[in-house]
Amino acid sequence: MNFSIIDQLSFAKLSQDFNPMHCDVVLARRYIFGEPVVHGINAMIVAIKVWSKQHELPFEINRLRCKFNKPIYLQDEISFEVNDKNENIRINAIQNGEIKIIIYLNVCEKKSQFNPKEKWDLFTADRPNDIPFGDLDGYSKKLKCSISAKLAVKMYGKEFVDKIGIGQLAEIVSFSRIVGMHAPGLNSIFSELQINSDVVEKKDNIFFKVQSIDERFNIVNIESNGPSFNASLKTFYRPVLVKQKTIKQMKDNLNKEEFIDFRALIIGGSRGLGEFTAKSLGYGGAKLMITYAKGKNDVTNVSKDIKKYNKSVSLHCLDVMNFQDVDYEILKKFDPTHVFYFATPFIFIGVKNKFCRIKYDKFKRYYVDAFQVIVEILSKNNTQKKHFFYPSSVAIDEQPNDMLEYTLAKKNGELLCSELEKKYPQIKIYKPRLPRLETDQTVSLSSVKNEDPVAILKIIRSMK
Amino acid sequence: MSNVEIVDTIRDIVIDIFDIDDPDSIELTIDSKIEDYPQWDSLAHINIITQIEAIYSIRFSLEEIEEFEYISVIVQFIASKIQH
Repeated sequence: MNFSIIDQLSFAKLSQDFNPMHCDVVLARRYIFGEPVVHGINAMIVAIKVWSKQHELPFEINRLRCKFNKPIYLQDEISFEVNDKNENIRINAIQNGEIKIIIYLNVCEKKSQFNPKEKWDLFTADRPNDIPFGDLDGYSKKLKCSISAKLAVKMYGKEFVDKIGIGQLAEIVSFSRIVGMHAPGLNSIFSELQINSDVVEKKDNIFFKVQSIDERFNIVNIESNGPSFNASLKTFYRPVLVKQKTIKQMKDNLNKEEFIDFRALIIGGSRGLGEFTAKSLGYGGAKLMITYAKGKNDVTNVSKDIKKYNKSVSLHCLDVMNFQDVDYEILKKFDPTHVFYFATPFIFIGVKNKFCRIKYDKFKRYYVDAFQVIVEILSKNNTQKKHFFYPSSVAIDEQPNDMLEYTLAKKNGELLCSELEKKYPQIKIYKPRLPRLETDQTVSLSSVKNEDPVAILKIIRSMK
Repeated sequence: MSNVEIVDTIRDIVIDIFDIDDPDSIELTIDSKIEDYPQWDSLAHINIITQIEAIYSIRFSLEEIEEFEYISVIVQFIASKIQH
């Protein structure tokens, strides 16, 4: 099975966890996982449902431990592996041999459960809490434990809702709301949930408190108690969005009119290195065409910043993955002297020492196939000298063992560049092996050092 | 506490973090290198470190953590911290 964006929005309504990491396709591409990811709690409930199909009787959870090891993406084909040979049940959610979620479950016969309110205590904030990491220590709140039974039945089916009970379900989905909307809130990653049913006090609300934070790893540990469960929630404070500098902040490194002879096409200029390059060239007087695939608002902001200094900027929607839909005539008409190719999927999705053909194919489509199409379109029957910028990577030299697919695709891209230069003698392709530069692609939970994108200016200046 | 006992504790933690059903299937000695374990990714690294810290009531600095390439190095740091 896989999860659709409709499933995401349904679970967001059910849990009131509207974190953009799950629900906003455009914003999520800039977060640490690069694309919308499935609510971990939703995947966990689906996994429990799979197990429950083998058991007719309603049940109550005594203990549960769920580790959200890897993000589940919308297109991921997930299978579930159930081992319930003894009283401790283990369920793995697996994609392509990789365990994404592990659940240890211990259940008993259903007793009486609390009956949650049918109506929502509507969440008044339209965005998740955006609390600075340091302010989270000790943060606490009491939430109403309510759920829409109708929506729960629509999502999971009446049989399963009756088995698990609407009371337990209400409390379980609340964990997603606590993490995604309250603490850590906007900048959250749910890592592990542990619950037990040793509740002494009967109530209809759920109280949570941040017990500790660890600034070395951005860990936020939360404890909660509610109608059915005491719970420990281990979460991470997700690295905040990396915003490129404004031209005003970059000006010390730039020179006016240094790129005045450039008619530059920037493929993928809404963020990251593309954004940096667009701003540098724009301030330097280049005539610009900037393309974007999804980030219309982002690229509009980039354009606004450039237009303070240079009015010659046009924007064009171009998704290099959809060759057939691309209006290449616009690109040909622009007839660029310089082409900067920054189209990329999310980079850090590899698994250590394991090659995944599907992931490689995706990188190849961006770094080899689409780049070839762009070069061919602009160079065929065109004798004008053209300079192409193809950002290769030091990963080819360093060969990190969890980036095999990316590295191989970039290496193939380099080989393609050499072949294209032979085929079209009028073009020159610059393919520097760039280090990790500070963009929203390179943020990490661990303390990885990234370099200032200003490092690529030297290469751009050499393209004259 | 001996180094052997510390290695055994690390081994138990690693078995838990890696979700290994059969403890005999993992070989971990004082000479083992972190790099040799495919499951030892950045998230597992953080979880292993925080579990070690919780069990021994110690805390590593980021500079110390950067040196964790071999089990022997982790053992050395743990031993020196629990002696104090």
